[in-house]
Amino acid sequence: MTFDLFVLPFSIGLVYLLIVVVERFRHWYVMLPPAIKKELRHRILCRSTVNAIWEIIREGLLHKRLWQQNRLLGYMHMSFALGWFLLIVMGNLESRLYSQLHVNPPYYPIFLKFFVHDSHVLPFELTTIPGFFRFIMDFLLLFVLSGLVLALFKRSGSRWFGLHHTTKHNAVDRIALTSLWLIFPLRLLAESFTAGCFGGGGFLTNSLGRVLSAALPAEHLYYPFWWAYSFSLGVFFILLPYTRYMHIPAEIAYILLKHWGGPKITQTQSYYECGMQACSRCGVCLDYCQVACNGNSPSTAPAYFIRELRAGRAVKDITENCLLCGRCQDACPVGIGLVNLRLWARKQLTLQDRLLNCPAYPATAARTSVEVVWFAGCMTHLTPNTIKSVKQILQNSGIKYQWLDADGSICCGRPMLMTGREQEAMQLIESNRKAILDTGARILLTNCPICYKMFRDNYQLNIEIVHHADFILHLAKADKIKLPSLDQKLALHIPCELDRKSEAATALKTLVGRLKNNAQEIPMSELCCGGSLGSLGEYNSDTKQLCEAASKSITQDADVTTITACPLCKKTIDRHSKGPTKDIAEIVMETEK
Amino acid sequence: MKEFGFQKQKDRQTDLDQIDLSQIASVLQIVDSWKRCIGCGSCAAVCTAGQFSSFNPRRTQMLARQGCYSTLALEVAKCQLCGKCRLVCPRDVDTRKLMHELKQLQISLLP
Repeated sequence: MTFDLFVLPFSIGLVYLLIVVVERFRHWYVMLPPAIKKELRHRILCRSTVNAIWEIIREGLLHKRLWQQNRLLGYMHMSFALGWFLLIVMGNLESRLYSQLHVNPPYYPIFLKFFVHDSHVLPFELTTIPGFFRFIMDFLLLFVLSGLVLALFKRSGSRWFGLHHTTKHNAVDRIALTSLWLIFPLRLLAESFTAGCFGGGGFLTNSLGRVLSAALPAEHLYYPFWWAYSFSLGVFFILLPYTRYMHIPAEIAYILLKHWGGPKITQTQSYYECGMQACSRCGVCLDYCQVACNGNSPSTAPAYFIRELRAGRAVKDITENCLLCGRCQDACPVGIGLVNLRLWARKQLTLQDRLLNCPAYPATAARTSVEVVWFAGCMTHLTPNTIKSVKQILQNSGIKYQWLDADGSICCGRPMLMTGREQEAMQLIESNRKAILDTGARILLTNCPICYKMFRDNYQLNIEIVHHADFILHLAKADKIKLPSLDQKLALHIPCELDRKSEAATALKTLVGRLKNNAQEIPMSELCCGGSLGSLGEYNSDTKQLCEAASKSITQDADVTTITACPLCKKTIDRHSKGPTKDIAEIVMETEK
Repeated sequence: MKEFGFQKQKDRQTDLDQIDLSQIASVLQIVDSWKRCIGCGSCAAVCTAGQFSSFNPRRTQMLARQGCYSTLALEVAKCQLCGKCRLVCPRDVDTRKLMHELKQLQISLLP
């Protein structure tokens, strides 16, 4: 007998799930632009596929990034993913040996212990290790159950898992979560009761079955437990597409799109939608979101933002409050492009007001034979000391340079881009790009990280783009500038726009390291100063709150000078912190005197 | 008689009975600090867009207050949202947020 009515809830759930998932995958594929579809088909037979499969194993099953975050957290996620995956694979192999068929009904391996209960050495086991499958299946079940125990423990002791905040789930998520958590204990009990009645089972189910059948009427209980097991599987499968568990299939699709789609894939609707579904709401981002931790809007955190997006609500506050500092993106274990996702949502909100023109540069600079063109940036014009210092550094170095925006400059376009107004940003980009290229310079120097990021990522200038921290470091290494040590206490604030892992950020750290006069470590903060142009929703009071929290993380003393390399950070921190704030150029020129 | 060249101009007074200020009231509700604006013009002095166009944040907020929607729509589109105005405002008005909100009103402001 290889059929029983109780397999129906599982089978219906599975069929429904497959239909929905295939339909979603098809939808994402159909929405891709033809050029990307072509690229995708072309790359299927390339090395990209091997890389994609390796990433699916590494992140989807082993959860390497979560292991790096916290071992307990990594183990918990791995035990569920890898344990369940291996249970399915091994169960399939085992069922084929029992049925002697290559294809079995999908429910057969899942409920195998109901259909066959062998306790003896079987003919096919004579050539392998006797009881191998019985052992391995029980071992894998135990592996998953250990993850379940950790998940239960995480509810109250999330700090042990390296998480200060955990996601709050809605009703549907909770039902799905409960059904998922019930699946494995129910499987254990169903198999144990069956083993208690009929024998069979491995080290876990057999011994538990014997204990249970001694105390309880196992022959009456085993059948209801198979029903319950099948029912919890069915409920989980039907709810999966509408809950955070959609990340299980979506993450695979996301990784494949990332590897197959080429560089332009990140700007497509399919990629955004797939990324949105690939979020597992694990809660890692919550601790990295300053607006959620130190500000007044916990729901701004990416996990909640994506939940709203999935529900088809582009909530204005949540979309706009984000600082776009990118810390969540660096921490996301799935590697979702969270900054781009937020920008995409902003684009939908500002679609209506992207019709009118921005002013352009009235005249472009004349072509001169200079090596370096210096673009101070509009924000730098509010910090004249920085301008003075950079100018002095350039003069001292003896390099031929041209100051492109001596008479002021239009914006680089980044604020517009950050608010989702791409078309207007393009107008500014084109205008600035022409002015920069007209100078014929080989190096573009800027002391504003906002401009730096914009030039690097959106201008396609094909000339070297250097941030002034990097520039000063190069001059110091070439002995064109002297860096004497400082007596005063220092703290370092890394601007978000510099991209924490970029060359310029590393140069800034190295440069400040060279300034210290003793072995004392300089405290460093990679938090956003709160003044980010990325945030549209925050009020000045929010900026103050975020800035104070960020300053507090590096210093609370009034005699500590905070060094930064961004005019906006400088203005913001100067306003809200106790001690003085100086740009790295100012500090270097001070030391020169 | 001496010809001074004076001529009668069209009345530019705002007739508040003719203007629906409910949209502006909703912006005021979001950007409460706008009420603190004294029109000092610091924002206009540092404005990035203002240096290269006729844009003036002080004038723009005045146009909004007076309900001159069609001019406001054209003016506020010039703002590049660089946020320098916010850094210099002596009254701590959320000027950048204000401009962003006014930009989003545009579709309904255009004739």
